[in-house]
Amino acid sequence: MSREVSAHTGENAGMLKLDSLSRRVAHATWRYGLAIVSVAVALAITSYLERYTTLRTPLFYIAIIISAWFSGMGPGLLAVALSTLALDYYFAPRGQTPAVGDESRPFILLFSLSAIFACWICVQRRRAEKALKNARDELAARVEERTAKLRRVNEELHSEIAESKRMEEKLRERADLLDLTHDTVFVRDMNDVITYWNRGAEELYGWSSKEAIGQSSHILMQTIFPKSLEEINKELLRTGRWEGELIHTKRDQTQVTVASRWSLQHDDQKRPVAILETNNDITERKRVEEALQRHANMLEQTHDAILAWEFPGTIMYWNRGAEQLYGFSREEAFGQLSHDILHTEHPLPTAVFEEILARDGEWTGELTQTTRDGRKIIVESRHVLMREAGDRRLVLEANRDITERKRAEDAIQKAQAELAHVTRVASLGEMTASIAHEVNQPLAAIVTNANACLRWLAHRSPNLDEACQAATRIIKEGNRASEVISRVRGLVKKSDPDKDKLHINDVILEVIALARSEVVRHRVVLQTQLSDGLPLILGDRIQMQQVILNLIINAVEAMSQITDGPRELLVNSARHESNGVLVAVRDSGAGLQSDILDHLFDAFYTTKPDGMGMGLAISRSIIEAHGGKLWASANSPRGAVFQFSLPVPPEKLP
Amino acid sequence: MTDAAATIFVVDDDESIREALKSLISSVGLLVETFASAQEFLQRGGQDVPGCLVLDVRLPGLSGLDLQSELANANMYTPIIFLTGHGDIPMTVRAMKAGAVEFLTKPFREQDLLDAIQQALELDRTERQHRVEMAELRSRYNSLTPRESEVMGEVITGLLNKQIAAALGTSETTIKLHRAQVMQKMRADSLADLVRMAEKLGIPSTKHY
Repeated sequence: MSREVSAHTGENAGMLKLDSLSRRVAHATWRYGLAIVSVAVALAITSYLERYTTLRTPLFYIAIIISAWFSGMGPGLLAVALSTLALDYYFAPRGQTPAVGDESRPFILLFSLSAIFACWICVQRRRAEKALKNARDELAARVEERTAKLRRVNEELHSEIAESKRMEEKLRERADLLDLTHDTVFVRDMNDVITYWNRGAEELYGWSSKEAIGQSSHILMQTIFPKSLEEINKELLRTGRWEGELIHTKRDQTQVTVASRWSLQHDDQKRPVAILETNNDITERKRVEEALQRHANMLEQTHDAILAWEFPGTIMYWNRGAEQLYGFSREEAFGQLSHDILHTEHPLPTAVFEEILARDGEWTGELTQTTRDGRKIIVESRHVLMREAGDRRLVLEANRDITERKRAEDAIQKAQAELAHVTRVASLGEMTASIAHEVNQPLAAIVTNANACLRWLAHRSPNLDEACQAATRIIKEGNRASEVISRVRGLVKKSDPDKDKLHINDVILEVIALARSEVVRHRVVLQTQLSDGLPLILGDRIQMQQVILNLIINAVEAMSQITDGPRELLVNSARHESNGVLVAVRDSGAGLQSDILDHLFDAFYTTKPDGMGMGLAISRSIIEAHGGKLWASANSPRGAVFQFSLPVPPEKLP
Repeated sequence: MTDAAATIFVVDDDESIREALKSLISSVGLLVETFASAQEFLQRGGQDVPGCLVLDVRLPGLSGLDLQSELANANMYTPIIFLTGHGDIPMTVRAMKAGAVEFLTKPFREQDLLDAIQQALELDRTERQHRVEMAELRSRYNSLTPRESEVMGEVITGLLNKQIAAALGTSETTIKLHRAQVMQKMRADSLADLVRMAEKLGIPSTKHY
């Protein structure tokens, strides 16, 4: 291989040599050709001019000079030789064969010598000129080179100056900026000694630049680090920067939380020389962040289940409360239809619910839902409609488990019903005499009428008319007795509230029928003023009777101590405001002291020696359960008025 | 029956009881008037007619017992039969003490009521008779001169004329004259008769111990 290559190169070299040789041959040919041609031309022209002049040499001189000038010494001498031969041959005196040494010989010799001299001069001159030209060219090139160098240096210098100016400008700007910025910026060396302290730092920490420079920064500001300073410095040296939160103590001894950024500065030898520390006061932000975090945590940590869903129910958010309440994890819930996985039982038809939500933007109510483990729970639910961009409608639903509360409420209601029953029976106990009288009256009437009837019949001429009337009265009285008994039974009966449409006047009259004897026993004059045409109320008959009975008994007892005035009891019914019924029980008793008024409706509060203190409390809760109000006030000119209002249900209710 | 002029007044706030009583009482041929309250009865006026009162204890306003005392205060002695739904003992005692004829608890046996009414009417008649006699006696007694009353007071103690004359410081003859005058004015047949009259009138006999 190598041999081959070398062979090739040898061949190439040979070729090159050959090439240069041929070029040199061509050059020589051209140079000597010029000599021959120029001499030939001179010969031809001289031959032509022979008729006009005897001067033969000048043109040959010219040919020799041209050859020597352009082609050098060799061709010059060739031209001399050729010219000499030509002159000798053509222009020697005729007839004389080459005869040297005749009279033309000195001429030829002279010509040759002068021609050679001219040739030499010419060549010399040419050479000198060439050398001079070369020297001049070289000088020009060198000057040019030098000039270019100088220009370059100059430019560099200019740009350096501009750069340094710009740098200076930039540095000044930066320093100004550093002073302008609210961030605190300071520089400390590798021993934490402060070397620069900007205006922001002055403002934040309270130390002036003069005071701070030269101090050790961590000691001055009692820096509290998030991790050890060693670790921080290690990271700083490794990466050239560090970011984190620090707590500094200001000159006034208050603490400030800062977001701190450190960057390491190196010298030319890449050795760390200083640390630029930029601090940002985030105390306030930190506080806000913490508050926000707390809110977010609250949303997460609240026991309320909070979920967001997109129509028609696709779950988008599911907090921890929801996970705990329903037992479905966030991952399980996402993307599901909320009412599907929770088996929501809505009190409203879907269309109505959606209409309300669209109209009001929110809905509040109770829902029954089923948890993952199949437990039915009752939640108090609040839906808030949030319109997203476009047609997306998002609903935020917050549900609170009120199952226990509901159960407790039911228990309370049951207990209240129980207690109401007890007080009712107690009230009836107080009224036993009255009730006995109410039953006894018709019985007495029956017996008397029956006797009368028999007597009318037993007459010698029986008075059938009278007997019939007596018998009719017997029937009437029998019915009356049974009514009384059923009323008593109704009051004693333990029953859950059962709302019915009632005429309040009927209820009042029924109670008065039971209480009349009690009223009479206390020598109270009972009057009624019942308005006609009152709207029907929706309520529980027995509970309503209980309330009115209570008020009447209280009024009667309040007047039982009155000896110096009338004992008057007035029960009246009327319309209340625009849409309601009002019942008032007025007595002429001692009236109510203001300190009593405050506690009147409290449970177990009583002014009676053997009272339970439950009557008014229960009465009020009954009235409130019916959507009404029960209150007491002073009667004029004396005594007290207890009155209650009841709303009238809208007509369209079934 | 016994006295056609007698009227039975029924006061009861319960209309059906009033009606029943009216029927029953009229079935035995007595006159009946009914009232719903004591006030109504008092307003009628002219109660001083032969008859009796059938009164419910419990009445609105003025009760039966109140009415009883009102009537007593007005010197009206119409006998009263009380009716009550459930009479308690103190009430009964009070009523009887105040002179009630009977105290019946509803429902009562009709015979008991009718008997009580009979009894009351009898009582009323006797009382009326007694009141007439008393009025006669009082007018006789009032016709005596003071001296004669004085002598009568001594006579009914059973003293002799002589003793009376000594006590009054006068002669036996004068006493004898006064005594005859007293016996005549008082229309007494005997000393015993006079003593009985004095007892009815409630004249205290002069005591000399």
